[in-house]
Amino acid sequence: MNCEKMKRLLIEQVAKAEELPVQVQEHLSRCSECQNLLKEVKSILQAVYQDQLPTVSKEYWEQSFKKLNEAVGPVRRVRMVLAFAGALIVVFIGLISFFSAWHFRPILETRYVRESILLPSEEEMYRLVDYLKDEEPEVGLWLLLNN
Amino acid sequence: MSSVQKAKEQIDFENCYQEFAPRLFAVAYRLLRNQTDALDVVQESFLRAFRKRNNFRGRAKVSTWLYRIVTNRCYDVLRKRSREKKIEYGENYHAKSAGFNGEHWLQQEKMIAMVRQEMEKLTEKQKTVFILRVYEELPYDEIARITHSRVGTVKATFFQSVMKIRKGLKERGVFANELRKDEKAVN
Repeated sequence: MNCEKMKRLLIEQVAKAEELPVQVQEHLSRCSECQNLLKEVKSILQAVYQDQLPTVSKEYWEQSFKKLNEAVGPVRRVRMVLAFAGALIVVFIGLISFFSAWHFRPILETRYVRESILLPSEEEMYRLVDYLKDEEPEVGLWLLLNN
Repeated sequence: MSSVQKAKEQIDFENCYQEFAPRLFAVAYRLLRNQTDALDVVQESFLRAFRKRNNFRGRAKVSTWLYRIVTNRCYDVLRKRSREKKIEYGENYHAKSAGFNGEHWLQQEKMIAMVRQEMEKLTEKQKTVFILRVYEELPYDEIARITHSRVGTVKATFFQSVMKIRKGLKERGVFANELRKDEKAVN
């Protein structure tokens, strides 16, 4: 394995606390460049680990959780109210549609019946008029005037 | 939502906060180098996470998801900050000017400050990978999920970030004397 690959492997492994793989150790035993790299990277990591974080008290986290909870609460309530209002609107629209359909049903049915069943053809109409002219002149006259 | 379910969710949320808030603060602080900003980012991230909890599909770990939210929020803050002003990170140490004699290790404080300054020169992604790998000791595959990258890319990014810090420190003269000492030892 060449030095460049070894450097990559070395740096990949060095952040772990575990021992370096055997092939890396073998290479290190005969490569001064990689030995230097290891030494330098270790000193960088040593400095990095000693870079302390500012302390944040337990009380701060407790307080901030309370604040967070307060911020989350209203949102949850608003969402619930919105969901409830949405459901009500849907139910209301559904009911209106149902009742209007129910209410206008006779008119629709009548129109359908008139259009599809009861209306006689033109030929039947003439025959009916001819018949009524002889048998019921008044009705025949009315039909003639209205068609 | 039933009261039992609500109580359970509340407990989960509280446990999650107690477990991850300090860890997320560590990442945010190291990315932002400002305590107030880091605390704000953690708070905002949790608020965002809680509001978007229904979008969490459970394919990744909760921690991965939270790390992702925090790092993205930190990038926003860094971008905003870079538009507004550049923040100085304390005294600009240089090994040679700081009385570095090379025979003994630098005063650790100065070394830490120099490494910190070199870390600030990394790109957002390099810095994130470096922090998650070194401080949080996360495996490469988890870092890959957090940063939306491939494992190979994460490894390469980590390598680049370490080499960049090393190069920066060398330019400051930190390792020069060490090398000379080694060369002498070899000869």
